[in-house]
Amino acid sequence: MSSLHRLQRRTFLAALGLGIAAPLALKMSKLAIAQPSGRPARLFMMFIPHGLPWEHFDVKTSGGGFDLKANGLGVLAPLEPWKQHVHFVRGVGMADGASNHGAIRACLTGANDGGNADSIDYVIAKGLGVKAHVLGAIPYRKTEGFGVDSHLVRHGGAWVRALENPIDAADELFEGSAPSTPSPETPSASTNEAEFQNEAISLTERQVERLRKQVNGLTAEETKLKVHLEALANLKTGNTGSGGGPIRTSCTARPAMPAVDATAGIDPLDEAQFGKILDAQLELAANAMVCGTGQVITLQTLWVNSNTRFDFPGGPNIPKEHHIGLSHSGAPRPDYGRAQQWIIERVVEKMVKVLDQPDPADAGHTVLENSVIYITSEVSDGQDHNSKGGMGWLVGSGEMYQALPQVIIGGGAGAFKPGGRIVQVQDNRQHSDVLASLAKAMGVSVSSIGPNSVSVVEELFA
Amino acid sequence: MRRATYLLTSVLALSSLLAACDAATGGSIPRGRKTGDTGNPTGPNGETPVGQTVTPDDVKARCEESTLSPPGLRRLTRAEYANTLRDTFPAALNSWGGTKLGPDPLSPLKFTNDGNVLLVGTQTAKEIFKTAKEVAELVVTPASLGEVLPCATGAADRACAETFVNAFVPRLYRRPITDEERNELVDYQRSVADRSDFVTGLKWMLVTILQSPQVLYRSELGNQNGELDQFEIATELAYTYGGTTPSLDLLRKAEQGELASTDAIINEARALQATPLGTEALRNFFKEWALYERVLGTKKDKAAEFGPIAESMVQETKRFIEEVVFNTNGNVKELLNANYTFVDANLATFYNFGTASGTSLVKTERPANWGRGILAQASFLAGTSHPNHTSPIFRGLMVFSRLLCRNIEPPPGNIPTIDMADSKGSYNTTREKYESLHLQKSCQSCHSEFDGFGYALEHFDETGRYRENENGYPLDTAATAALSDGTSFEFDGFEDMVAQLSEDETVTNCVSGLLAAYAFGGGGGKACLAEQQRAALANGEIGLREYFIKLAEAPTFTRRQR
Repeated sequence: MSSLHRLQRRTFLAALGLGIAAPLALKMSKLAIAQPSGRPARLFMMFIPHGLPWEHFDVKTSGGGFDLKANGLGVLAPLEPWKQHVHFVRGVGMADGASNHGAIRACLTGANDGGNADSIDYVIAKGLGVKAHVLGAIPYRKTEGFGVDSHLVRHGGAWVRALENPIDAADELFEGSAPSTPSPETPSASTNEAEFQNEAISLTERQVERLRKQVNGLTAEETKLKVHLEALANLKTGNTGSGGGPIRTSCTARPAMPAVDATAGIDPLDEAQFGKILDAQLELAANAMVCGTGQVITLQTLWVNSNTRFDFPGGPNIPKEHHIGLSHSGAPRPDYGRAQQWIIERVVEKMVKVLDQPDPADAGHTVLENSVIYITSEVSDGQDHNSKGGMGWLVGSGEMYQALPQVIIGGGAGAFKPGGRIVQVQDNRQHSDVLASLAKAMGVSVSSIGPNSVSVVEELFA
Repeated sequence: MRRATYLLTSVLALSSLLAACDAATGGSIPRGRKTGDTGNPTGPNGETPVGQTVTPDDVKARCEESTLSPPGLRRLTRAEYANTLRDTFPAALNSWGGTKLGPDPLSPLKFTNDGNVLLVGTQTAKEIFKTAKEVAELVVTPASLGEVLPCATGAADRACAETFVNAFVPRLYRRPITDEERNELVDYQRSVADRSDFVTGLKWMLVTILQSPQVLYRSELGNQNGELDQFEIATELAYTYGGTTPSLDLLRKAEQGELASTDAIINEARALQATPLGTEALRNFFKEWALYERVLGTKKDKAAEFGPIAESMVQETKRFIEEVVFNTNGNVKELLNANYTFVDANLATFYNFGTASGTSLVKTERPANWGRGILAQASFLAGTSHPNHTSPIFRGLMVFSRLLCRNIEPPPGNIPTIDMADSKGSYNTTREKYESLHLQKSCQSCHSEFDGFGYALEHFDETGRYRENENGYPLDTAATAALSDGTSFEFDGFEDMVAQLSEDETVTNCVSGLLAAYAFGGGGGKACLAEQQRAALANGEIGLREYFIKLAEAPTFTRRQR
């Protein structure tokens, strides 16, 4: 028996010993073999649009030290209790010449306008043999919808519309698990029901296959049906349930997720609900990471050029639009800093605190120590639309340092050097090197991202 | 002031003419086009264009002859899918909440019905499945089943399942069902029923029917010569002009070959367009073209309770379009130039003109020099403004992209730093501020193309209300918009700008091209699909509604390029 197999078996048995149901225990055992250290790594990637105001964001002190409150408001100050888990990669620029708001499409693909590249979450998930989940806190305006300004995640060549509704997303991430509080009115689906579902989808697949033969030679139509077929295959896999059955131990059932429950019946596309939706998606992702039902999760927060006003209930009470009103403002920019800081606060409250508990799959460490939380944006600073690392100009303040925001929180299952710090890279080092580093932390090796070859940021690693 | 045209325009016009010849002879897109082609996605999880998509620059081009779209499949939009289900099972879905589908993805033209953008990715497949399951459960309730399938309460056998298939599937597939298809469905029903009961079997059979590609995709494939069959034509008529699946009567006509002549097709188009769903289908074009619902959900610092007013503004524009397009069969000129609008009590008070009571909209003449047409309506003006000031950029871009069909290029990477020494740093008016910022360095090259249109609208504040001045400072609404092709508009305020735009053939060509692109679901990436009809609209022979109907005469309505 190889060491990997021994490790997998050991984790599987340990999970069973903790009372975890076999399907989930198996999933956790798969987690264990993903990372070179043998610890179960999870990845959470979060996109925040319109960059950061560096006079409030930079964690470098005038003396060159590392302080989350080094400048202005200290956008990252809410992370202070977890400072030892914060890696601030400083100096990065967008890869492949992508810049300005259009760089959203390069954020996770590493390719200008997306090129023909899949996003890194998909690459990593494929490498691990798991599903890449995509959640969204995206109150599209009625006339805008899912268009190019929302294109962040790309799977198999197709841009992915994030799951906007936390209730639906929870069904996906905790599929097959019992509800936290069983409802007598909603008995679980019978075995037959699941069987019938898959048979219905199989029949649909045959119909699509027949139509595909009919359009043979019409490339665009064949492609449409290929996308459709793969979607059906995913749907069927989901119906079968990769976890299946009730989850035990810390997840004997679907965990209690009050923020998710609070979104029942509300319109996730209603701008006024943005705060609730963001909280719910963060809480859901965190719980899925704890339970091991989601190993690679991306959360898309808003979209580029989004003018969502930040005076929604529960928010920072700033009556300004995120794009024009906040990110385009001239210094001093306390509102812009506060709005971005509020998002970080929610990450802390609904994710970091949840992850800071013993890992059910690795009792010697916390889930946070076994996780990688990556926060990124498409531009360095919203005001001048650079996506570069180096000195820039800020209206009202003059010359100041800025770079593509690249914050990594968590221990990466032992992959990262312990202790929080600034990782200063050469100005304009391509951000796809950071993406490659995330892949390495997850146990997936990549030599190129988008059209460019990549090398990991070695200073990050233990 | 008059529109100035420079020598370069002639050169470009020659290029366009050459391109037009290209199109006329080869049926191709004029040279120099840009497409939204993003390659050939092959993946499972999302929505992204496959094949080509047209851009604004493409659709405004005129060609000597009409071209044909390629054969294709067009996924139903969210509204088309919902209408199809409701029309097939009206009683069962009487109080149904609607589909579970998320927002339809936008094409580069910002329309939600482009066949090369509407895909079935993982999330959409899941939403369709949920919708199908919910509808199937509603249809097989005892109350519903008693009506739609009486035999279900009796023999409930294979013959009964076949009765269901024969009764409903042709309407959903929009053609007769083959024996193979029928047997496949009924075999599945029997298989499930053997392990449960007849009704459960019926439910799951209906789920497969409702998520079938035969339901989800409109077939516009045609035969080897590219000719669409009678059922494909019936389907195209039904969805384009009626917004829903063909009626049984229309399917009967298709079966009997009664949709073979242009007259028959036009008659059907006209009748369908007049139905409530047909009217809604055409209204939807104007909604997506003018983006007038953008004002909903906006907040204005000057108006604490802007929500109800914004709703009235949307109703104003809808009613205005109703009057111009449907009641008077007007054209683009009327949309831009009409000296009237519609106000309810909310708006009469807010605008400070007109008299109305309650929510009834009253046709009202606009005060002299307080703007004209759709561009003077607050749904547009407030929808393109910020909470506390106007945006000459957003307003200008709307004219630039939706009336002149100019591609909006993304802002360049690394926008140069703004040197405040070049500007005075304080401004009396919004225009002063934007001019000061945009006159600098490379901003000017793009902003000079569209900011001017926005400056002409500065007599309307961010709420869409007329103002004599801005905070006591006089407003300058004379402006120039210098387009990159050398064409230049110079105008002395709103009325002059609108007068010039309404006489400019590019504007009518833009709107006719957009409406054709919309009617043909993006046309598979082809433009110049209905040149004869566009000429009739441009010449003033027909209005917009009639133009829409006459698109059914275009060659591509019944033929595809093979």
